[in-house]
Amino acid sequence: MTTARKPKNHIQESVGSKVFDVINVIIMLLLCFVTLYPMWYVLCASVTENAYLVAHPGAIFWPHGFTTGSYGLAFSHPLLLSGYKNILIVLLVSLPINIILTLFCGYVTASKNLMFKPIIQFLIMFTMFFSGGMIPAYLNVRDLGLYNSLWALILPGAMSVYNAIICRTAIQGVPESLTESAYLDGANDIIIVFRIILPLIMPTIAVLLLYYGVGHWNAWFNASLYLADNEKLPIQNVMRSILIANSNVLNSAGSDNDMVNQYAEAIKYSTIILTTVPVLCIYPFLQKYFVKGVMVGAVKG
Amino acid sequence: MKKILALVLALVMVLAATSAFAADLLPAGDTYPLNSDKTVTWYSQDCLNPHEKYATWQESPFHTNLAKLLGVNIEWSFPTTGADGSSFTNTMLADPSSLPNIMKGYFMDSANMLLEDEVIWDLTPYIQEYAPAYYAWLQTNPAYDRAMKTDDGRYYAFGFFREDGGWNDSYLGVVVRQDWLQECGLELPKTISELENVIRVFHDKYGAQFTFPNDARFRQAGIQGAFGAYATGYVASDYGWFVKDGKVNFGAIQPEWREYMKWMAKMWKEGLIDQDSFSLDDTSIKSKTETGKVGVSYTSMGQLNLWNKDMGGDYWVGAHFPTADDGSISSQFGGFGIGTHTTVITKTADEETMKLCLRMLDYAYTQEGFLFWNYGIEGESWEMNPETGLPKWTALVADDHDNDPMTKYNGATWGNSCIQATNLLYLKNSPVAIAANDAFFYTFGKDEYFADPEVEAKTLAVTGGWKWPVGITFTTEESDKLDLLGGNSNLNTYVAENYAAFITGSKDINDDAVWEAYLAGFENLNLNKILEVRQGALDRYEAR
Amino acid sequence: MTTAKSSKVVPQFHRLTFAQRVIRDWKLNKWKYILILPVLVYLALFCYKPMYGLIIAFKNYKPTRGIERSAWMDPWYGWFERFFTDPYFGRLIGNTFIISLLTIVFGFPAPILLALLLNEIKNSKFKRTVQTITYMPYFISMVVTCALIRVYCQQDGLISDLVTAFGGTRQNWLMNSAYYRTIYIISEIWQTIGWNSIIYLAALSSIDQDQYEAARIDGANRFQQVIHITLPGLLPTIIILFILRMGRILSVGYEKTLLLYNSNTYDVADIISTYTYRLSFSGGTPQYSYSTAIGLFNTIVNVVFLLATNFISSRVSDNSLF
Repeated sequence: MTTARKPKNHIQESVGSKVFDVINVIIMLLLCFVTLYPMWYVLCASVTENAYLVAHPGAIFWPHGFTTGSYGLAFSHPLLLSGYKNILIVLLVSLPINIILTLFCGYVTASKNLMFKPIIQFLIMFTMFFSGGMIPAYLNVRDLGLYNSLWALILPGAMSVYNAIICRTAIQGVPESLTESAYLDGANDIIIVFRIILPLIMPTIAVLLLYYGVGHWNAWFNASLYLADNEKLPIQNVMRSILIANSNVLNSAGSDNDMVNQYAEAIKYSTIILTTVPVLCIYPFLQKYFVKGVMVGAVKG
Repeated sequence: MKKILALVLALVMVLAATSAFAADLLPAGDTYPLNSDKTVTWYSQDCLNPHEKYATWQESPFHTNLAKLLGVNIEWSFPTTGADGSSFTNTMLADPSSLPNIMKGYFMDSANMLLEDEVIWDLTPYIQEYAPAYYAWLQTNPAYDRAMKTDDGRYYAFGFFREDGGWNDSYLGVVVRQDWLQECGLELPKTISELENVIRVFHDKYGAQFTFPNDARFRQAGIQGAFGAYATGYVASDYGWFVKDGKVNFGAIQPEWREYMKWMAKMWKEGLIDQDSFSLDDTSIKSKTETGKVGVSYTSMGQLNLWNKDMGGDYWVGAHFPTADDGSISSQFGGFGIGTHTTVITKTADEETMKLCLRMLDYAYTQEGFLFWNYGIEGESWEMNPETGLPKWTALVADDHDNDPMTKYNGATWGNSCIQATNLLYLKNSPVAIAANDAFFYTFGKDEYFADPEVEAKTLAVTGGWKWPVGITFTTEESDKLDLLGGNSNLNTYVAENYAAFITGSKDINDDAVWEAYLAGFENLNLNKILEVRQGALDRYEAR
Repeated sequence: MTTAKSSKVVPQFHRLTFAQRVIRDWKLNKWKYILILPVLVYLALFCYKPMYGLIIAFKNYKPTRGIERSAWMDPWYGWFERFFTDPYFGRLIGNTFIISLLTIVFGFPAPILLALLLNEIKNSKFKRTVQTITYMPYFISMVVTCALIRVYCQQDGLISDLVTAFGGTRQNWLMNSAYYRTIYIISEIWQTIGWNSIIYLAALSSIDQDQYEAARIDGANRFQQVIHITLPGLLPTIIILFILRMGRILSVGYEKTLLLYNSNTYDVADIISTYTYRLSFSGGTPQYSYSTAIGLFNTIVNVVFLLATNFISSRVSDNSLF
């Protein structure tokens, strides 16, 4: 982030550079528009009267006939609160496990001169491509006594090899002199990982937190197989059921289907808002670590 | 010809047996409650999940009341909400030692294997003694009995039946804007030419098109009957095939089907069919109908209710399946009124528990049980309507504005191991939707149907008479063979793809060379070998 | 990665016996082995333990019979034979490759470009806003994204509105095989460009800022700085991600295709994963054995591509996965 420090620039910026800045800003604005418009559409649609949505399949630029009924419909779902609670538990327990395993794995595979590293590396990479499939994984969960407990959502995906590789790449970027001198001071590897490596790769850790966190947040398939009680379902499964219940109305006779009928279109959109907004609130807190990385860079030199 | 006559006759008997109020025919269930201190585990793949307003089944009146009435503790389980039911069941089956005692799912295809592997109980030695009501019900007509056992005559499951036979199995059909018909001075279309004319006039006058959701539904049950064709563009284990004179045939290779395709292609070319039809779902098609973009469509009576409700009037009405111009008709959507899902008792129940389970399941086929499964508890959720002599909802249900509130109290709304009362559908649907369903089902007129046995037989022959019967079981070897031959999946891809190509004109259906090439394509798909296997299974079924 | 050449003197192990080497290694790296232990335990319990399930590709697996009791296929390659002789085999492989390659050609560089452009923005508030906006689509579930696409592609939808404004004709854009891939790729980029740029931005933030200072003093313009400092700084990340991406070349998920295609576009849209999906859900019991066999075939192709990319990369750029 060049902006975090404002280096005194002695060289005059060329005209070409200024032109580029302008074009760049225009490109970014265009990109924002292209991205935002459907999002804005979703937001507007979630509070728009069904009748209008129905009549206008094309563009919408602002809400028509403001109503929060579809949100009411979603909130009246008896599992909504337990859904948020469960995903929160999963996140709080999972993320430390995820990060610690990934960090350890990244650190060890990044280090050199380990006699058994090739074997370890092979064992790790192999799992990236080969897996037993849905049924053995399910039987394994039952076998380990995790069935119908939130641990079934936490442990089977405790570490992603893909993320461990990203972590390893970041650790390889840390100058070796730093770890060497720590060794000389008598530090062991655990101290090195937490005291030296971890602070230096904070931007990467922030990214990994985001990857894992969003992965858990969006996951629904395992929960649908490994859990038996509705009260244990995470929020995505609850949202899915709301969506499915409202799109699959073929056989529903509907003489009293007021709510579904009224918000069949809007509910699609309000569930997006309800599942997206919490993540959007967390992102800025992680984003600052990317900025901090600049400081780290400065120390390194 | 003899066989088809026999089948028709059997179907007539189904209807004859059930046209009266079924509860009167059922034996009394005076042995309940059973007062057992056992706990039975009961799983239902779908259709019996607690109403969405309840977080758990412990809150659900139906589930708790059933345990009370039966006098047995029941521990219910279901796929979690939003989960895919069949994946859930299949993963469960992978651990046979921890299965629930009672399971509802789709077990007809694998019944033979489940019995061979001792995953489920063979109920034959016990059924008469411990499930007398159910056994008696099966004996009321041969079609029921035949569907609920294996080729070698073993009973293994409790089934779902519609009190009315096939009426509610034809819940889909052509629907038309009634107000526009009147404005244009047109009659409700009966023949294919009349239908075409209505679509054309609506298009010229209102810019409306013929729109249908091209999901499995329309492709299962289009308007091909007017051309004498037996299938549209969908192939699955019970669709795409038809039975004529005891022989299995494949619908999408018949010359009649080609005629149907020609008609669709013509309509498409003239812009009379909505281009979006190939990618619409229920919600989006409803949107279209409400904005006057659709004049003729194809949908269910449930959707018809919704459409009219949203438009605030009975704008949409059901029409008969169109006939050929000479008035003859060959086939239409419809069935036997027997569900393809069944309830089995697994071997995790010991012999004594199994006998208990039998009696629990038997309850639904007694007089009291029939009423409870359909309406809940008398005085609570329903009372007798003195005018009709049939149950009606109390204010508890009638004033409840949640989705399908009756499902809080009853178990038969979507189907389960029980008999669904026709009255239930009358209570659920608006009169115009009921009339639409009458139009869908009573191909040759409702009054004629009841007045003239010949019309009745004719009707049943075009609705269910040609269909792949419910309850056919493949042997383990047969299903393995079908798996290796590519089965329905490849056939469905091939037919669906060409069906679309023919309609949209990317392949010219009028060109004989194109048609020949299309037919030749079935060689690679092992159609003949698959037909052979199916014929074998059908023959065994007929011989039951 | 093997980029950084160690300056440390490598201890000469080769004269010691195996046991001595092991003891020495343990003394030196004890803590590292302790650190990796939880990872290995995790892999053993949750990855290797269920992996015996792969043998069902050679069996006729029935869930209730369990893996042991299910019969072996005769011949053992029966399911593979069925796949290779399937009339749709060629089309499925071709379509999967094309969609995947197009996604790589257009989708892989897009987030890198975005990260580079973002990096050139001076106003940090604007930059952060752009970032936050562009990653949002990633959170929209596939069902809803595709529902939006379908709405926009309708006969009377947004795209038709735009096209007719420029003199085109109204049509349902998803009905036409010619546009299917374009729609697929563009929506893919739309949904993932911001999210995928995050990793590059993180990598960018760890590039030493003093290098830019030095370059500026040397008179390098911004384009030159990008070429000589930023891109080389990103290269290890780019290459690792590219190798990993190539290792998924035949793994195109079914969910999106299933929601976007229809029988009119099967000829370009039908891919391996939708084929196996339909196998499982078009009646009857799911064919676990057959899907596992197809999955195994997929994996092997993927691994070959991964190894090839890795090999080329290690030769050309000194960057590699292992």
